[in-house]
Amino acid sequence: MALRTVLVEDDPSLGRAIASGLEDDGILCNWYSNANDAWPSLSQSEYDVAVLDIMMPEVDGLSLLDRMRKNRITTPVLLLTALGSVQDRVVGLNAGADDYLVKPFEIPELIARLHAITRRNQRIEGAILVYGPVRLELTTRRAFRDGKELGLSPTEMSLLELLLRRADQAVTRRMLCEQLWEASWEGETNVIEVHINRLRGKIDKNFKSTLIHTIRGRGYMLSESPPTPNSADKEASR
Amino acid sequence: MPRTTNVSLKKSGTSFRLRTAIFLFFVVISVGLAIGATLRFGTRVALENEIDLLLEEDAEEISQVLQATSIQVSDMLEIEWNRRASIHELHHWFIRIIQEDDVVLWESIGIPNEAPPVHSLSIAGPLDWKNYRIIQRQLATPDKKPAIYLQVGTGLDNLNRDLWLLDRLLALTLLSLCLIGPLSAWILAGHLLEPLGALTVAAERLELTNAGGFLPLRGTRDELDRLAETINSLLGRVRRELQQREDWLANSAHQLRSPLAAITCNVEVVANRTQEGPSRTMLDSVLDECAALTMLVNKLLLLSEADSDRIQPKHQKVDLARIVRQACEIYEGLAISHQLELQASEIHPCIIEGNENYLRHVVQNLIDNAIKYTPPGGHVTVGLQVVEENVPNELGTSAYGQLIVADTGSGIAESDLEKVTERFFRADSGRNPMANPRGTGLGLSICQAIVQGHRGRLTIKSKPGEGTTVFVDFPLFTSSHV
Repeated sequence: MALRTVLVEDDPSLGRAIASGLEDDGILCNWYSNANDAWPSLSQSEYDVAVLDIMMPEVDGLSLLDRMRKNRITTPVLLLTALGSVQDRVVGLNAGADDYLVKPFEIPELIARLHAITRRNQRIEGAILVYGPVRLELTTRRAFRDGKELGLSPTEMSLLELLLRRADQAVTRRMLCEQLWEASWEGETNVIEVHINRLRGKIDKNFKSTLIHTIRGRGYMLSESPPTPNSADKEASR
Repeated sequence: MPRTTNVSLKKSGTSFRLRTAIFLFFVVISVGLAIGATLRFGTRVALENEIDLLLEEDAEEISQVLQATSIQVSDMLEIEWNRRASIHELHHWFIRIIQEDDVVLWESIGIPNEAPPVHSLSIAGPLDWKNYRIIQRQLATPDKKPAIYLQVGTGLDNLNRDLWLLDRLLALTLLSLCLIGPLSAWILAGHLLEPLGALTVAAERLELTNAGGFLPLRGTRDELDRLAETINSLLGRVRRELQQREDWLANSAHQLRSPLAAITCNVEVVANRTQEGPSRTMLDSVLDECAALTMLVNKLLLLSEADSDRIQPKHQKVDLARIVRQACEIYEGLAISHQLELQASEIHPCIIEGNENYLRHVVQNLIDNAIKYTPPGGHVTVGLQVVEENVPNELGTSAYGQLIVADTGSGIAESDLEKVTERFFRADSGRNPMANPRGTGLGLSICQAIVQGHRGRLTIKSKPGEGTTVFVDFPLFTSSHV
């Protein structure tokens, strides 16, 4: 069953883009441009997750969230904000939000977070991650392809772990950054690209099929079938 | 920066107290000396006046008697005066009647061994003569040619003994003043400066946030209250200024990020729906530009945050060694792909106080820079150590954590060395032709701002052609700040 989301975003351009992006990914999205219009839908709580913009005229996202929680609406909430300091993040999460995304963001990141907070489409958090021919043993920190040990560095191991957990889904550089050092990094050199290339050299080189694919402008994907525009994400959501 | 000034404040407070105490002590001693001197002088004058009065009376009486007897000392008078002299023997009282040429006509018992000649004394008033007080008068002798003088004197032994006793008492008092003085002056100075100390303690607790409080007024309307009022009003102005900055920051963040988000998401959706081909390539390059613009906006906002002191370390313990080791691990791959060697052998444990995310940013940025500006075959060395100095440095501590990032890169020209932490400064042309075209020239200014926000110090040493070494010093975490 497709994920049902409600989006409250006053910026028509951004709202339309997010709604389209989510629908392209097979996620149902009802978009409202203000809190009052959204309230009837929110209060029926027939949605799996709500995406609220913090800065909106009249009723802002935090007030709306507050109103939801006071009315015992427990729908998971993801806040969108243009502010990004640590302090603001704390305020958002203290207000009862489940997650927090700073603008500008990439749609795959939003999708990944929506899946994460609804606890859907999540792979089992076991000690061993398996995808096709790849096997990652988290406890012993060893990775195999077709039973052959790959000899990955801790950084490569960490990146592979995220790619495996989100196999068949796009993973952005920003998400990989956060996986590596718990915070987004605005460095000028593309460290992620270097490590992904090294990981590719170990996991794909000397094997028949390619597993790690680059999605231009978006990031990477671990998949047995190469992604094609408009189809990859839909496949992922199934 | 409350803690750095902490030390120096306390230091200058003590020395101010010391100076006040020394000043008070000298005041007390000078007043003591002045009172003692006045007392001694006054006592001497009073005692002498008493003696002089008695001598005047005696001289008057005796000269009247002598006038009456035409300066003939009869047996009866001799007995009488000698009796008087013997009664006053303890005072060494005596009478002498002498001619102008020092021929003694009569003298009582108890005269000094060395009696004064007539010319050594004036007739104006009583005078001191070798431990005696003597009054000399000319007797009216119209018929006799040589003038005749009467001398009445008394010893000053008693007076001197009394004064010596007084001197001893005064010396004793002064001595005890010298002993008790410094202590009481110290206590008194401490007492006088106590409100100032209380003010300092209150000021140390002040914070720049709006809930950071104000200095308490004691309601005495004195100089200290005025000082507190002045500081409070300054604090208010600074807080308003900071508030405005924060509002500006929030506003500009919103104004920049919102349209950027709309552009990115729209292009992303369209790109995703577009088949591979020229159009898709163009859309992808728009996305790349968006990512670069996002990075620049985030950097500018980070810099503003650092400037407006929003990254004040929140008394959080940060394991700098862990951050450095992690960064080295991540950047090792990058170094290898640049055909460089990243060495991180000397990473010593080092706990500092601050914000982990920002510190990570500094460490990564420095390593990133070093790798970027070092040609293939070179080395990048990362070290972390605790440096202890005998003398407290400008960070206000004698021990501090030092991060060293050294490269064997192209180095920085001396003329550029001061400019590299300036905003948007780029010396790429002179440093490395392969420099990342995506560079913004903000990296080092952000590092600098963050390091300063952590009360640290960033120093760059470089020799063109040999390499660059960046030193970052941070005050160590101390348990007293918890």
